[in-house]
Amino acid sequence: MNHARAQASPPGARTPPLDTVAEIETPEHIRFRYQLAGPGRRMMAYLIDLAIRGIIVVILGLILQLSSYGFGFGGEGFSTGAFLLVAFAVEWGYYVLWESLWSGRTPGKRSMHLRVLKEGGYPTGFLDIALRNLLRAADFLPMAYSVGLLVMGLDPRFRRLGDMVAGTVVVVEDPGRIGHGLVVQPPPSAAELASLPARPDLSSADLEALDLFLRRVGTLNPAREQELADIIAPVYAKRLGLQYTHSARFLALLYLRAIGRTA
Amino acid sequence: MNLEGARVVLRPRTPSEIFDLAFRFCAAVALPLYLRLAALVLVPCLALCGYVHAITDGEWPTVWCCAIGLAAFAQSVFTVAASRLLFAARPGVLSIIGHSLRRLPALLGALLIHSILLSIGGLILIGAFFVWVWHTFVYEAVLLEQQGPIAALRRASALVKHKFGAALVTCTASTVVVAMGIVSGELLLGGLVEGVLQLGKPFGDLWEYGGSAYALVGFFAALPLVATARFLAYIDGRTRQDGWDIQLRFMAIAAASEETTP
Repeated sequence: MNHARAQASPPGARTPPLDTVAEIETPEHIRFRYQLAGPGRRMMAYLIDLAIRGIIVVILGLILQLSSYGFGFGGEGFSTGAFLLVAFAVEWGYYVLWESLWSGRTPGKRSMHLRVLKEGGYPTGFLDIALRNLLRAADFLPMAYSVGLLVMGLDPRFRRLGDMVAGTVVVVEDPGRIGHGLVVQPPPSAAELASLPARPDLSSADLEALDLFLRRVGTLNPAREQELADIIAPVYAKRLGLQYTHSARFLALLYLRAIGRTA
Repeated sequence: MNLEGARVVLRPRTPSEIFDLAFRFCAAVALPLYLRLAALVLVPCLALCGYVHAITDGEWPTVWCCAIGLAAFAQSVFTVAASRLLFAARPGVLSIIGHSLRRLPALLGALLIHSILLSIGGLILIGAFFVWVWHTFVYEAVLLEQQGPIAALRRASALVKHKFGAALVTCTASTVVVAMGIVSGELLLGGLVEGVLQLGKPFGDLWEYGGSAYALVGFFAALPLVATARFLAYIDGRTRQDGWDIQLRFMAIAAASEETTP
């Protein structure tokens, strides 16, 4: 996600380039980046929840039907009335219940790795959840969430009306996988490492960029790999007062030295 | 290519993220241009379909065939528009349509060969499925990389190489978007005319006759989003293949370094 930060606004452009991430800054000036959930993922989550709701309503309807006929509870009028009550409760209560009890998730959202959060990045309360789900009816109008989709398209954070009123946002949860260690082939020799300073002065942005490049070495065309390395290698060589013969190799060695690894 | 001036952040993305971005791109960046293009391209396409409906006495299969044929040109226009919008400040409507028209013979040639291969593939059970996915980026190969019909199909297959899963998701999601456009058009516009205005069914009915003007509107209205999403998937492939995101980072570091150097 943090890859997005690198791209600067085009010169003379009125707006920054579009992305599907939101940056949130806490009062302690700590910045979080969330991937926003757009209509595609949210629609999939909705369909899963719709299927679950359908199954719940059918099962409860069958139970009511059986109780009506089998045990003689008030006849057909009772079962129809009770069924409508159940359908109403499931329609309005399903999302409020799940999202309140399961930290902004429903089974559909969980399966698509989505979660409802407050716009500031902290967890939602019951009132926020109730409010955003109460306004589902407005988003649904005139049918099939047409208003919600339209509003989502126009909002930079993909919020529907309910989200706007409740101050919530739906984000994609990052599973937080740990990347495998970087392997430089062939392994650096002692002479190669000795030609570089023990801890080259590289910023976190430099290290992130080098890490991104070195992890893609081998997947890029060799000529393109060389071309990319030639953009940045002279900059570092000049900054650190070093010389090199092969730019991609130089970048790999520089990176290893900067993070304190020798292989 | 002015990568620094791109209107979206160039980085590797998942297919679902690409569709979300396409949705946002259409609404936030492309809407004014797409509306003008819709008036110049999609409305005449609809009118032509209406004419075909009139002369065939309401034979909907023929009308749908005509619509699918016209959709090829409409998609080419929106593909060019999306590509120009991504890197240029103010792309002209006429230059976009002109470029699409100039590349139309090559595109039709490529689509014709694609259709023949699809038919042959259909004989070998799931062969058509592979042909369908392999040629996902045929529009981009013809229109943006200026390839001839056969070279475009080869190039489209090369673009999908090692990314079959992502291309399959792109193809499937595009088909779902078009299907949703058709159904939404029928439900929204048909519901408005029949349910709210109480005018009956003057423009056909998708479920009863196999087609309607509303479904056609929904079909053509979905094409800009489909073309944009496929183009952004193509850009994602190029970003991964050519390391555009790495280039942008390196260029930003080099520029910052130049500024600080006395």
